[in-house]
Amino acid sequence: MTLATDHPLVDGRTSASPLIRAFRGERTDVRPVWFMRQAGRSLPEYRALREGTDMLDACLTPAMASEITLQPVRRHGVDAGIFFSDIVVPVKLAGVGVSIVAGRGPVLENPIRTASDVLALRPLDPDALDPIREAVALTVAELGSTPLIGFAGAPYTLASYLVEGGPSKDQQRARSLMYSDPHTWAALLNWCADVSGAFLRSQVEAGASAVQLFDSWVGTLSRRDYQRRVAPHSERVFSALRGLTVPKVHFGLGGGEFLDVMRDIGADVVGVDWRLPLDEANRRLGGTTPLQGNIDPALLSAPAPTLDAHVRDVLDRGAEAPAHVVNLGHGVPPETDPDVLTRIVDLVHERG
Amino acid sequence: MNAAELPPSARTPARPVLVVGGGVAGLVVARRLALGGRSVTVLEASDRFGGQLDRHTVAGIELDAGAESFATRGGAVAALAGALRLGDDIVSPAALPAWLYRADGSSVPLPATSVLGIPAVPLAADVVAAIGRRAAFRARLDALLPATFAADSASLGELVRRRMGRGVAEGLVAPIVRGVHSRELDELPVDRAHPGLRQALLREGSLARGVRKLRDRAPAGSLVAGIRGGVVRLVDELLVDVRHLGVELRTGALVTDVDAEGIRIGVERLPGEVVIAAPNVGGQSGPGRRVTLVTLVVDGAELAAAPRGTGVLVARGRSAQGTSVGARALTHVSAKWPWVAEIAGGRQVLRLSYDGDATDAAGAAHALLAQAERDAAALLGVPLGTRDDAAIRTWERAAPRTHAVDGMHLVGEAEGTGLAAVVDRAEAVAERLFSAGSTPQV
Repeated sequence: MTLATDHPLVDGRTSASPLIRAFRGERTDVRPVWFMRQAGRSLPEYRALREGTDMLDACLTPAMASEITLQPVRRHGVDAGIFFSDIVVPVKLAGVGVSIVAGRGPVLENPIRTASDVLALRPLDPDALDPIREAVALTVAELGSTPLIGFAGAPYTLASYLVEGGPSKDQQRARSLMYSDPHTWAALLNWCADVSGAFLRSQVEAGASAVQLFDSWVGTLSRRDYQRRVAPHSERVFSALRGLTVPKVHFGLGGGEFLDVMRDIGADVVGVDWRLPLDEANRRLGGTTPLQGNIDPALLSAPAPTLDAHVRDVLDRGAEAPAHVVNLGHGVPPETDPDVLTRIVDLVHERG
Repeated sequence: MNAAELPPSARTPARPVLVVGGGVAGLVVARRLALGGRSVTVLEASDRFGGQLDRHTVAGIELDAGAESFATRGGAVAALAGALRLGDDIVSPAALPAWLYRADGSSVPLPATSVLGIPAVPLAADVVAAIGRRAAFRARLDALLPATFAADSASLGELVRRRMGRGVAEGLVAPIVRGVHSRELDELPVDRAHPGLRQALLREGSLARGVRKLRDRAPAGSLVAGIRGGVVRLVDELLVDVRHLGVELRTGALVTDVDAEGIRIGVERLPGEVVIAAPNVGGQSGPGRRVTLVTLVVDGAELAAAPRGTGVLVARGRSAQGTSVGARALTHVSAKWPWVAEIAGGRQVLRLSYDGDATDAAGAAHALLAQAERDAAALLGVPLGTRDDAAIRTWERAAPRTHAVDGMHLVGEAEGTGLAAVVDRAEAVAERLFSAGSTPQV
């Protein structure tokens, strides 16, 4: 199956946009910029809209998810929308009891810890993704020539939530399952890859022009463990997009030691966190791969001259890569002043 | 611009894998690939998985309807059984000899130390008893021939005949090859019969010494093993695992066309990396061979002493005089496997194999059963007693593939005989399908 004829990449709406060109490895006059977690908690209009609505309900109400996705594009003039959702949305749609607790994150009713827990996981019914398709279609119709990036969590991060039962410091339970019961581990990661893969695919089919796979917790893994016990399953997510020719971005927080592995499983673009300067990331990737990143989110609250100097440094280092999409090195912190983000967009667009 | 103009990803992710054939080989490949994160679909043309392994219930006893043991050589099947939580249920057959039924109607125990009937000690008493002194002395010549003599033989028949003479070839090796591999001696390539045999000959200097070395190196205990409850439990557990790992399983999926880019099932086209694990798909195989297995459950008290050990191989299907034994081999299942004896509760389980679709030859099922009872009584040398129940099952064994389509991976019986070879090759193919960097260690 290929992209539909009215997909924005096919009918020409987004195919020449700076973001898509940079993702394809072309150097653009003006560097595109967007922010991970630009939609959501840092925006007052988001907080007003969300008032009284549960997070996952908001994700699954198409009009609401679409509006939240569009808010930062309107406000900051960023070069891409990132679909507003949560990595556990497809898990919930597959029937697993999960809720998002304010200030904590996703919490499982019953953590998945044994072989029989994994056996009880059911596949995701494709029809359950209808609210996602509808939200993406609504958003893409509004975005016009601005591309929408589809969103999904990578199997390791997703599985870690399922095993730990919620956010955790170092994913110790998850990592010990990886060794104590590698078979159950593989089965669980395959399941996560399948739900995330179906989730991403539904977004692309409904009009997303690119995708990003988020692996928030890979920083706790050694290169060897990542390569042997995690990467094959992340590859399975990208495999779910086979036939759909959209650029694929792979971001892993703390993945600096295995950027090449993250790329080689099928990513076109590698997202880099704030710890690794982009020129070094480019060197590690052999100078062949478009990069995305990596303004340190901690500096968003720093005095303007300090932040501006940092942004310029990121731009200079990013200029060494074949192409560079400006972003943060992780998500926008909730307390961020939205005007700071708008100023970064202006700065990047002026500097080019 | 059009999306089609987008350059393909610098490194495209792994393609989904389409495994054609849901027998043991197909399921082993599927399991291994799915453990490594690959998306796998298994397409089975029939309505059940398991291929040459299946179970049936005869007189209330659940038994293997197909293969009932596996070669312990190489350890591939035992390793698989272990990974499938069946390690504690691997059982050795009873330490009884198998017997040879000769064309003149006499029976002798088969030589204890042999590989495929090739004796390690040609002048051993049991060899002399089986084939006679003249033939045994001819076999002894093997020790005097240069190692390279006949080492380039294509078939097992040629190799054994040239080194040890006709007596060993026809009297010992042929019945075993016919019984175990369902093949004639001259049809069976040496390396397919035993992958290490040719090398052992060259290294040890003679066939007999090579055989001795191979036997020494074999794991302690029997050359074959079974699984309590039936070898078919491998299929049960493989299915549990692959379902668990998110493998898509489809039955009734008759693949009509196949190439390196995917397959077609009627009008449905599935793209992916193709693994062929079925005969007669992707590259022509010769006609398959048919084997009919007749299982008898009888209450014969005289069989309790296992008069012919674990079973009888028939030196020639039919004697020139047209005497009545049509079976190629008989397995005394309840003597060979203590676990069967336990559940049979004093009754005896026998299994006879016939070449071809024996119900056609015998005219009807009842005629075949009558023949099987006559054959069994002749082979065992004692009356069977009353028949409690019986079952007939005809199997098609894959013939070797004559050529293959480029870019596809072949596994299954068409690529090697016996469960051990099938599992070993399936694991190796799955391993090759992984890119070197991301092979998981599980």
